[in-house]
Amino acid sequence: MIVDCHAHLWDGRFADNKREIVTACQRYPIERVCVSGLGSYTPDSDEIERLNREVARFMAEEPDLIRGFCSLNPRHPGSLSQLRACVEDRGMVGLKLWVATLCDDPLVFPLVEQCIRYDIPLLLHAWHKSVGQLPFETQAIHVAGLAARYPEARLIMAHLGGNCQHELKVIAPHDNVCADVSGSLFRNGDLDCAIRWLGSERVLFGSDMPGASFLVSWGQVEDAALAETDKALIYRENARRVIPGV
Amino acid sequence: MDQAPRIDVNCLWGHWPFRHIPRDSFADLRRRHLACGIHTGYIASLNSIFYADPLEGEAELYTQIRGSGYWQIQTIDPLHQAGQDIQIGLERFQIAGVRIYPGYHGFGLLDPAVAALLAILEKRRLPLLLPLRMEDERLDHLIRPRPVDLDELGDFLKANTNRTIVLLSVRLAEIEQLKPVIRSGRRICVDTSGLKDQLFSVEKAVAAIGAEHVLYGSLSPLYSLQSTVLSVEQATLTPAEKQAIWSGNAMDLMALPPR
Repeated sequence: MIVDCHAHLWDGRFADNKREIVTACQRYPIERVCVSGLGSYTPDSDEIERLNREVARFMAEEPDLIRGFCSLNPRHPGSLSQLRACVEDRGMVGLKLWVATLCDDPLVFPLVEQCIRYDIPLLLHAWHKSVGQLPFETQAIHVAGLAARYPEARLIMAHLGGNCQHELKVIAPHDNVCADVSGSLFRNGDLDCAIRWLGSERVLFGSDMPGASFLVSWGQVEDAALAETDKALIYRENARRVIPGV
Repeated sequence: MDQAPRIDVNCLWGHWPFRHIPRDSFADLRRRHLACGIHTGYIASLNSIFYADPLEGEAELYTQIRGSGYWQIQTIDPLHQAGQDIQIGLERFQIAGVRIYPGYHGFGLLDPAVAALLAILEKRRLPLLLPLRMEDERLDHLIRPRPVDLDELGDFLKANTNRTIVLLSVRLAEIEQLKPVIRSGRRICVDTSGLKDQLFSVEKAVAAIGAEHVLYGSLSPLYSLQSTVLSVEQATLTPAEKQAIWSGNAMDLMALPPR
């Protein structure tokens, strides 16, 4: 069985996204899914509340299946209050940051410190792109900076940083950073590269569904030259260690 | 695993110069194909994309696959001696089709040289395989091939609805955009190797264009073979639709000589 640490509900498509995620869980060997809400690149506070409220609803609708990650725009002064509400009142188990700020922006520091106090991970979108890099799109160098500043923080760099050959070596020295395989990446060799730089204990399974296919991530793990014990780490054991309550 | 024969219409051999590809020998490909129930494939040379004379890459590939039961797909640059190269490909390598790379070789699909190539393929009864991309564009390194323009591709397909054309590594959103023209051509198809976006993407592609327009292809070894295998194995389709995708459509469309 698989713990998928990276899935989303997209603003305006909540019902369709929920239905597809639940269907995927019925068809494929999925034990648990960590879900966060996404919408615009720089969501206002109303959008943030709408996203997190819908994730909380999904958690209540599918309590055995869904765990929630709080989505925030660190530029909002109310972000810390939103994080507290999501964790303390809604039972979310992590914080998701997307592209509103780089992850090592000082605006993020109070949020990281609160996550450390809660003992919950931060899931950090990260992509090094040859085309289409967004202005505040985190790359591994930013994740590494945050990891160095907060060695007690639990950080998950999403998508293997996009270009794994370029990015994984940057976070490799920081033991408090894991990486997930989500995001429709299924190049032969990417997972081998991740194991080479991070070891199988620091790679988490993620899909980025419903915007990406769960099957490409699943197949990528099945395709890699891994022992069954390493696959078990990636499929679920690492997630259980890094994310409370999965 | 269902028992339908499986053919991979989009597999490759050779050196990809932009990153390390593990398990990339032809023996690796065959072993991994067989483990997934795939008994043969249409294989093309990666080297031929980059060599000044693609025929040198074709000769290398032929020495690898000769007698294996795989069909060689020849890489052609329509701007350079296409007719002569195809003649040699047929005589020396018994090619079963042709691939072109507009983004790497710098031509447009509406270029007269492409029309001339299609006329040759028609005469030789060879299919055209057209990769829309080789990598996720966000991960291109050093070379950034010009993306295939979808409007141009649509016009190209409209002008050739009676030809056998297989679009490789197409995204679901592109299929949605092109579906009227794909459906209008009885022998215009897509392979499954680009269906990485969205849940249930193979099912959605079939809903858009019909199973008769979908062929199994992996883009292996550049991409994960198991990812594409699972995308068809796990798809909620009828057994007949799956059989068509695994091999039935390929055998119907490609007019393959026996191996």
